[in-house]
Amino acid sequence: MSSLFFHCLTFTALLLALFLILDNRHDSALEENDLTTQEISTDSFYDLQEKINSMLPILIGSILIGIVFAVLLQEWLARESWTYRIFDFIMVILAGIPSVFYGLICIYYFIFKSGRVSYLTHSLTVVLLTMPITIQSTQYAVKSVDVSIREAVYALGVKKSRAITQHVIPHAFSGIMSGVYTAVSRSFFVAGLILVTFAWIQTAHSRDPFNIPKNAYVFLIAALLCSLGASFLNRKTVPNVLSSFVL
Amino acid sequence: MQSQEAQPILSIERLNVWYGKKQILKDLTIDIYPKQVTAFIGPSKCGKTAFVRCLNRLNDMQHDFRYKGNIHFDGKDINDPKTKSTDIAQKIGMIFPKPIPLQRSIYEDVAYSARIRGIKQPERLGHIVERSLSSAQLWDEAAENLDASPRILSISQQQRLCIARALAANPEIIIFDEPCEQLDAAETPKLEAIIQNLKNDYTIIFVTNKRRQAARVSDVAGFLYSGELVEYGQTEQIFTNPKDERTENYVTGRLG
Repeated sequence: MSSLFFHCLTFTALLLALFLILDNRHDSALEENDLTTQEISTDSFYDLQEKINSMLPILIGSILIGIVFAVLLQEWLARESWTYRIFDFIMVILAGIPSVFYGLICIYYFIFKSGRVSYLTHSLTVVLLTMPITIQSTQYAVKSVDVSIREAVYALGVKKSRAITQHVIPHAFSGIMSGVYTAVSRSFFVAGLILVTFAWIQTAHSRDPFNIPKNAYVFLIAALLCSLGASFLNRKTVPNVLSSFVL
Repeated sequence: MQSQEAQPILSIERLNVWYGKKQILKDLTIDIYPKQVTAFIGPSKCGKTAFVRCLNRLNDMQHDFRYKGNIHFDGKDINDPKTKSTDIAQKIGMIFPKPIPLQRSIYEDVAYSARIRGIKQPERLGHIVERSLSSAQLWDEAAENLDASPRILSISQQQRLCIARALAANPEIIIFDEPCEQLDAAETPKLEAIIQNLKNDYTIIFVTNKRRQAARVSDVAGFLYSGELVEYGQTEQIFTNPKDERTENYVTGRLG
């Protein structure tokens, strides 16, 4: 029940965040109170906003593909095979790289090289940011399902595909969702970071460095909520989450 | 063992099994006859479970599993590439040491196996559920709680629920792999009685490291030691007049 509650809570937060982002597209960022409009090009800011919003389908797609890929990797590929080892090694490396590094890549391509690179390049940066962490956490979640459950199911003559969709994935659901929240949190954080960086560059001579677009706050708060959601799913208890958050 | 006219339901010829580089079973050759309880006894890690998992192809799940030899079920090679492992698993059911309920209600848990066989009609499902639960001696205790979660049942009841679920798949052989391991002494006789009743309709393969239980339950017994089938014969002969010294040492408690 508690797991369901936190799923609902985080999804509500996500939906709220997305609603606010889309709702505020045309008025929030560049109101006079938010930014000194003399120092920022309205068109370029909307342009950046559009580019970030257009990454939403890529984000959802990369997460879904990541989950499917991880399940296939974990369940259908023999663990001793070279293919499995190579994929596993690549995912460990990519997921282990701190998100700040990907954030810098995103800032570079979304702000400094924005007009000179294609939609594909932007998409690839988002895929790199989200897919490895989704794949790795899904792999761990699927791997951690008790082998006795699989045995009990296979001993009844259930097909592998059915066993995985009806038994393995439901048992691994919390772990998978934890990875999804982490991936979404990473991408929201980087989106917020891009907006903040852009605003700081544009308002370099402004006296107030915290005078940044509302949308950036929305992204950062959504990232924080998703991160908390992932922690709740990982650690299950409120004191554990709070202590990890404080520490 | 049964008369010479009876055909074995399972014929195992020179079965060798490896997990990785370690050989678990060495040259096992056995015939298992229908409608009787065949027990496999031996100290832990002697290959009992590895052996029975070969019979319903559950070892296919192990990535490092290798085998050599033949297992014929009703005259057909179960490891033939044309034979589906799901068909074999449906015909050779298995009860594990730890009961694992799979569905949200007692009814659904038993009906699940029947649904896998393609049975959809509610009346037929209801009949199968009732018959399976009765055979597993759980109907009287669970009839009024069919929609309740299996988690409300005791471990012994959950084990009987797993037996009912296996029966609903309509198997020909049922493997019991140390089914009483998690049960207390008071519940064990109930399960032994179920096995005795089931042997009228099914072939039972029973794995245990409890010597007395094997002596009580089985008609035929095989003693496995370090992956070898040391002795195989009528239970009475194995326990009262063993031919091999290692068997004698095991049944008298001097070994294992």
